[in-house]
Amino acid sequence: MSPRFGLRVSVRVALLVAGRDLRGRLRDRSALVVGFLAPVAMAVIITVATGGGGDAFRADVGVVDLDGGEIAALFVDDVLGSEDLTRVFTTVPLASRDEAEAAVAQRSVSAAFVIHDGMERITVLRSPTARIAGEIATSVAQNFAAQVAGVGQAVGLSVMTTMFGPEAFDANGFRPTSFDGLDLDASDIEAIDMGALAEEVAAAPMPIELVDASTGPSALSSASYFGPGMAMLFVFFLLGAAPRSLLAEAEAGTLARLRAAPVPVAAVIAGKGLAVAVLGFVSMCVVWGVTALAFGATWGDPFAVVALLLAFVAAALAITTVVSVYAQTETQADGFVSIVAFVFAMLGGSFLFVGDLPPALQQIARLTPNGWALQGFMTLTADGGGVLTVLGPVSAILVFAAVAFAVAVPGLRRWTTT
Amino acid sequence: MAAATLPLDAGAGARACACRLVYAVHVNDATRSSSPPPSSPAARVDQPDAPRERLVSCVGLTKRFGRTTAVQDVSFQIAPGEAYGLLGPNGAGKTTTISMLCGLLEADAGVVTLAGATLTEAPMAVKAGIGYVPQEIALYPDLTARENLRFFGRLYAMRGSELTARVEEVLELVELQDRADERIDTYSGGMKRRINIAAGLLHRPRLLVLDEPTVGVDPQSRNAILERVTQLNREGMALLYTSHYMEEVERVCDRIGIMDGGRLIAEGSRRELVDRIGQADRVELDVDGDAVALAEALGEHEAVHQARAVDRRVILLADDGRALLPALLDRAEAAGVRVNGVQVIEPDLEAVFLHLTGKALRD
Repeated sequence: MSPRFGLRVSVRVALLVAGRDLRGRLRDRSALVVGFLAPVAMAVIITVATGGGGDAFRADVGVVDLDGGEIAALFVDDVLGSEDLTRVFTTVPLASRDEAEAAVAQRSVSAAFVIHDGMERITVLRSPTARIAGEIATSVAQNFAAQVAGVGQAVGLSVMTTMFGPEAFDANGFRPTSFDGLDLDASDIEAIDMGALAEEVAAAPMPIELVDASTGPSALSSASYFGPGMAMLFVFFLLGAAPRSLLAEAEAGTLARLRAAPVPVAAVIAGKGLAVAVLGFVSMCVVWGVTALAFGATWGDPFAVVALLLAFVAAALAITTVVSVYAQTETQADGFVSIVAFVFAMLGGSFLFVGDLPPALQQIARLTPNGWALQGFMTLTADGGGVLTVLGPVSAILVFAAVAFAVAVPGLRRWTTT
Repeated sequence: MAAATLPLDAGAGARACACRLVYAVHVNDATRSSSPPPSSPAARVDQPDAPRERLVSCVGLTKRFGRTTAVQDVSFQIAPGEAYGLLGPNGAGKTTTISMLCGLLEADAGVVTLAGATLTEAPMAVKAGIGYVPQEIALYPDLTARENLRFFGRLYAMRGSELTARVEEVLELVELQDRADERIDTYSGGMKRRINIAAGLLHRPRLLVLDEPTVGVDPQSRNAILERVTQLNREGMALLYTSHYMEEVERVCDRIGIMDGGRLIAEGSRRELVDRIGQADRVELDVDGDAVALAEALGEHEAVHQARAVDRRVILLADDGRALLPALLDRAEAAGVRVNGVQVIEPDLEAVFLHLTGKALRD
């Protein structure tokens, strides 16, 4: 058989087997329950139990205003006091940086902003035990700083234009030919209307509004977190059906009939994997859609979400294959898959916010694909961004998939050679 | 492989060594002569040997599972259109042997060829020529019979009108057209068996391998299945039939290989196998009168090897018991003993197996 012909036959057989398995699974109502109803129901229950959609996450954040100026007040009153952020943060005024550091260390606040004198900089004090609050606080501060910088540039431009006139600018910006003869005195500076400048700053779009436009903090809801969490839990059960069906077919004799046919055995196995992978991916997309429609949850950039989902499906398929191929019976494989699904869900943060877990458990979460995937979803929801944003989590999950497949291969050989 | 013959008297010593012997009719070289398969099972026996054309050749098949040798150096050949049976008790190695032949198990040693193609070198070509009917009901219970057949047909690259037509043909062959659109899990055991066989026939294989195809079915369904299988063979399809039911193998097969303990211990037509153990027919007479005297009188007949009285019965071991009956009855009448009933038991494959291994086929 030529390689090209062999590939064509393999693809044909894999699609044929996948089609048969999909048809069988769709006729089997238990697959619909495990793949669609259960994860949606669990996501809804947990979302409602933790306070519903967008208002579920709350944190206390400390604020130290060492500047005391108008812009600092703008940040404290208008940004942190905005309607959107007050649904997420409760601000706690603090007197000094030391006090703020102590409060964060003692977990009396989840994060703290230190506004330095002269608005020189804003320091965000974060706690590893409250990662979500820290991420949101950082995002808020970064966006505010960007806005202030933008306004500062506008003000600088206005000052330069007043001082040097429009002729000092060329296509590349400010180009004074010479500073000689310039007579700069106080009147030049006073010519800038500081009141107008303050109004301009105040009228500038609030940072939180810009963050909202790119899936900012207000989108980080329980549904956005527990939706993917539950989808990942149940996709394990769904994907575990592929290796279990190999055991079932071996016991029923249909596997022998498939292997007696003039087709590559690997294509048969690939077809089985393909069927449940499709089902698993669709299942997660359904949870995505339901949490978005019912709770307004935003999982993030669709391409990035799809990348995370596909990577997770590959990892879950590989892991369930590992635990199943070394099982002796279908019942035993069922048990193994259930244990792995729940352990990974618990450790990975599907049931509790990872950020609320002790530091050690947060590290352990990184030993699971669930933990990496949730980190990816959190980053997408909190910071926005696209596929590149989740490149790290996706790569980590694919490493899980590759390692698990490598371990599974010797086990799969027993289906192909015996 | 050297051929050996077994002593006619099946004594303890012969039985002890029988499992290591292969009968003179065992085929293991290219010069073996035998009859090509005739058109009916009855005519197959006792035809003069003729050059045999090979369809299937298995040479030296061996399979070990850990320290257990499941199949040891098994060799046989099947001619085009021939029905070859593997007979043996459960655990004899029949399924392991056909699993190696069908490419389901990798042999530790030995070579399988089908129509000149070697399984190890051209597995797809060999598999395409074989229709495999496993011992289990290897069908998807959640699919209808027609859906099952179409699925398995596609595995053999059948499609379109060719597939549709062939599915209808095999459904007609197993007489299940009317139930073809019902799910398999609603079928009776016999119906499932028939579809199980139909799935193996879809691609018109040159060799149909049936592994215990009648296990767990009622006598009526078993009879129907054997009818179909025999019909297929009459139409020219070669068969490899395994069973531990002696009567099935006798009915279906031209030649029979007897397996025990992973070895092929004898091979030949039923007649050849029976002849080679040299066992006499067993004749039992139910009598009124002096059974002991009658036993002595009948024992003097030259065709009677042994005669003894047991209660009101006389039991004889004799050559060609049926032909001998009139003479026996004449002697009984002359001795003044009334014969109420007669039973002639001819040696069968059960007796052959017992003779070879010292144990019953169903032990």
